Amino acid sequence: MTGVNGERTEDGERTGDGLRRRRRRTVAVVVAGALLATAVGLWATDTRPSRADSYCWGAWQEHEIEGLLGGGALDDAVAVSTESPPPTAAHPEGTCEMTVREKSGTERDIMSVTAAYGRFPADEHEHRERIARYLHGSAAALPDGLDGAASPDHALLVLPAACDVGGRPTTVTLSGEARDESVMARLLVDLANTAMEKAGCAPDAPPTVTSPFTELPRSDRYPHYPRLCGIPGMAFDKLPGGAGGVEITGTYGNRLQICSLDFSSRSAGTGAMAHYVMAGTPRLAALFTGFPEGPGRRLVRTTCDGRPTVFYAQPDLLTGRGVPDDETVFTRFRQSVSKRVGCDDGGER
Amino acid sequence: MTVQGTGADVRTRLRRLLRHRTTWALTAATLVGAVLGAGLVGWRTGTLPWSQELRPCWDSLSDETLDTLMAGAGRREAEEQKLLGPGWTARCRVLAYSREEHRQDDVAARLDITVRTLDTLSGRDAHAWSAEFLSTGLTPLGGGLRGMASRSRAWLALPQQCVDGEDPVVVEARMGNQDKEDLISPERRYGMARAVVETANGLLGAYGCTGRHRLPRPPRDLDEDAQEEREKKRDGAARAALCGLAGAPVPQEHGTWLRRAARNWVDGGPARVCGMGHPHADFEARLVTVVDPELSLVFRAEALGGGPEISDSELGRGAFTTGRAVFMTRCQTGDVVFLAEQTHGKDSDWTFVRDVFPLYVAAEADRLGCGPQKVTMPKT
Repeated sequence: MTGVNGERTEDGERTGDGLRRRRRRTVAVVVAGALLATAVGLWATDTRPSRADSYCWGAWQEHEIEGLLGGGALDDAVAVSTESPPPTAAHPEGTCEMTVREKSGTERDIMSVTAAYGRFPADEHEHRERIARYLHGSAAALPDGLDGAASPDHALLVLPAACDVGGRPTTVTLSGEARDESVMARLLVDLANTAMEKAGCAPDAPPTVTSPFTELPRSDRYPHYPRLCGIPGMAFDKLPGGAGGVEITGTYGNRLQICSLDFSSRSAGTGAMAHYVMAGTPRLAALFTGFPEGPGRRLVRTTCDGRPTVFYAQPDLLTGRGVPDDETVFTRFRQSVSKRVGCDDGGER
Repeated sequence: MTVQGTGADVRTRLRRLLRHRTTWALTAATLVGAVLGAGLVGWRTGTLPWSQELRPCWDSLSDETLDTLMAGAGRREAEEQKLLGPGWTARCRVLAYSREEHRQDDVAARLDITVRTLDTLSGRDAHAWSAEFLSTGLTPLGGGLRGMASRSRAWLALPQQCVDGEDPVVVEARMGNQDKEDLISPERRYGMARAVVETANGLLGAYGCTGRHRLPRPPRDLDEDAQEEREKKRDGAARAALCGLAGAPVPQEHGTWLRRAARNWVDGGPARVCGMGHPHADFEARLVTVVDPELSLVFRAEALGGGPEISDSELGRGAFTTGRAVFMTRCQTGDVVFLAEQTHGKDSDWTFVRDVFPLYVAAEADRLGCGPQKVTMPKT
């Protein structure tokens, strides 16, 4: 045992000096013992003192990311982030990027996430594009009743009305690559809470996500079943170019329903062929603020059992392929979904 | 001699060393330090000996839940099988012994918990499992949970994400017989619901999955009369709806049963069950709609080849045998199964399934937003 190299005192020599020295030596020994035992214990239980780093305005703590990746994952990896200044009340916008990369070997990215805090776009084209990306059928509604959706590569949370800017909802979006939607959802909610604090619009009860995802999207070849996404009245003529279609769909009670039809062919690659959404909570419905309304425009707002509900279809897809016609298909979508969510007026105002 | 001398020399040195205060101080300090250090490690890593107390059934069941279910009983003992991984069967049971003097070895209450994968290939669980866990008395757990509970049975499906596979993996809880399901006991049902949710949460932890379910809400603080009043009201409404068949042209003789039926006909869960009659009566039957798409798979084999084919358009497939009919179709929520089964009856009553099933499928498909569904029963 080193660290006790104090000067030797003769046994029985009770000078004050000797006592002090001995006391000092005892303290040193206790400290050394504690240190040794701690080190052994930590080594035995494979815990290492955590590095106190955090990313994206302090929203994501390293130990938390480690937990999301699975224990010990950061030992062989390094996380880096670049971030804009955090959002403020005066400038409620911000972006941030975090990448977790393998330290050695291939330097593969284990996880990479780009986050954005800000107002949903006003430009119609951008707005539709945002809806198409973050409310794609592959995204599952967030658990615990949160207003948003997540997939392993995208996630969206609509923030409370207090965060609205100019009558449009503010959202936090993530895009990137994570192990699954649960990881995305946790990152999403943590970032939202931090960003809302910075922007000064945090609610008294901050959103939290504790439950696992119990309902996930399903995908199927199309047309395997005659009704797209199992919705009566959703019928189309032959798909363009004989492309193979994949329907990806999810129903989440009265809150959200998404039906996506994607094509994938060798010649044309992959892309969207149809996209239908029912949003049945005030905050999710607010995402559609600003679009032209009416069945012809593929957007109908109504109230179902007291809930503001929006029925939406991306208008520029599969045009002229609906049976008997595009508008009738949209109306039947509205009626069939209304029936399912117990809104018998068929979505009429 | 030399050896002896050396021995004596060592002993003397040892003795001198032991007499030395520094040695004592050093030893004591090291020990104190070690205890402190070990304590520190234990505290930081949550491995203190007294935090090691594991709860019954894979460190899942809380005292509160067991107290709710085993009120009045004495000491409890739990026994559990090792968890091998998601999808592997594991059982656990909790016994509560009598509190009475001289009878303290008598089992007063027993809770059985099983986690297992439901069979979607042979169709065995379509019969056995559904008879027990989709029977009259079971109502949805609520709160987005994929499970149901009654006063004696409860089940909850583990999240798909956690079990890695298509087949449903469920936690089952059993306590006592199922013949008293008509008793109103919200506390017991609440205890059963908590038992499956807590077990599922324990398994999520054991399997290394993200997220924990929220516990079901306790029954509203109503006195028993008010509770009974509420259930009566609900039954009344269900009865008026005739298992969803109000307005359908149901033959007179079956309408009588339907009007008496309808306990626990609650919407908004993985399945909805409308039962009528009683195992000890002349007639017993139930109508079931399974909405959970994974759970529907349990009935796939039966729907495809469990008897003479029920015909429909290209929308669905089904099978009919005397006393039982199954039809599987695609709805907005995925695959949905409609089931009608009669388990008791006098000779003349065995037309119930044949007569009522097409009406039931049409009505329920309409309610779920996947109508029209018109099924035709095979000629026998």
